Amino acid sequence: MVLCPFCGAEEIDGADVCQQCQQPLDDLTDPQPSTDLERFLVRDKVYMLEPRKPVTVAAHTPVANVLRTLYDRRLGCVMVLEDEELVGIFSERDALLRLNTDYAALRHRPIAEFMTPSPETVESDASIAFALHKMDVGGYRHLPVTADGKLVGLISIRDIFRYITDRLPGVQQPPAAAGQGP
Amino acid sequence: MDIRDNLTSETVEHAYPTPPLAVHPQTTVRQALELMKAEHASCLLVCQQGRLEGIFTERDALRLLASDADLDTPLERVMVRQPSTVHRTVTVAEAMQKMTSGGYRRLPIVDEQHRPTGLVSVKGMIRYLCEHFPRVVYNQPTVAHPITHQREGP
Repeated sequence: MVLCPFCGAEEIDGADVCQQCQQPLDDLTDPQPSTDLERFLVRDKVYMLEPRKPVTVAAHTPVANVLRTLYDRRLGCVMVLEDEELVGIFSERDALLRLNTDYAALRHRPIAEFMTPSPETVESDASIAFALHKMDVGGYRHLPVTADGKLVGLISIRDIFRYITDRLPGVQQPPAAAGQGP
Repeated sequence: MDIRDNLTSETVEHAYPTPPLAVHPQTTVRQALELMKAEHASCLLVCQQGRLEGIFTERDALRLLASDADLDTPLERVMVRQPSTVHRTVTVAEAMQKMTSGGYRRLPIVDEQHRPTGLVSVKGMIRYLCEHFPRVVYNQPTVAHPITHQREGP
C-alpha cells in the first residue's frame, strides 16, 4: 500500500496514477537512496553548487577575441548568445578540435561557426544527481544552468567533483603513511 | 562495502585511467596539436627515454593559439616541466586528494622508473564515483521534473 503524495489516498503498490486525484504516481517507484552521499545527491539542488556567472559572447564575435577571453580570464568555456538566447557553447576543447593548426586562417570568422550549438542545460532546481547523470552520460565538462528557461549560471564537472569529495571524509584526510609516488 | 573503504583500498588504476600518449620533447607544437585532434586527447606526456619530463595540455594549446605563438616551436620549450604525478600504487582517495588540492584536471600515473603508465582524469574519477551509487545517478528521468504539481500541469 502506498499513500498518494498529492491527496493522501491509499493506493496499491505500483499504481501508475492515483485513482482519486488522477495524479501520476510513477515517482513513488523511483530508487530510494541508501547512503548519506546518495541522499545528499538526490536532495541537494544544482543552485547549491553556487553556479558561476557565465561569461557570454555574441554569436558574431570573431574567434580570435573569444580565444583571448578564454585565456585572459582563465575560462574553460564561454556561452554564445544571440538575441539574449543561449545558442551555443565554445570550450577550449572546441578550440583544439575545430580550430587546431588552422587557427591563423580562421581567426576572423564568427564564433557561431565553431561552437557546439544547442547545448544541454540543467534547471537550477534540479537535483545534483540529475546534473551528474547528464554530465557522465553525455561526457560533458560544463552544463549551463537555467531558471525558467533563462541562462543564470554555469557548473563544471569539477564543481560536482568537489561537492562529492567534500562529503567523503576519507578523501579529505588521507592516511599519512600510505605509499607516495617517487 | 562502503564507498570509503573502496576509496582507501583500491589503487588509482581502478579510476578509469586512459592510456598515456607519449611524445618526444623535439615534437613541434603543430605536430602535437594534430596528434591531439586525431586521438581526441586532452593532453600529451612528453617523455625522454621513457621517462616523464613534461606535460602539454589543451590549456597550453589554447594559450599558444591565443598568443599567436610559432607552431614550429618544439614542445620542450612550451611544456610544463615535471608535472605532479601519482605512483601506480596510490589509492583512489590519495589521487583525488591530490587533484582537488592542486586543482588538476588530470594526473599522470607513473611506475618506479618514472615511466607513465596511464592518465587519470576528473572524468574517470566521476565515472568511478558514479558506479558506487548507480541507482541514484543512472536512474534519472530524461527531464528534471516529470511530475506536475498541479492537475493542470505547468
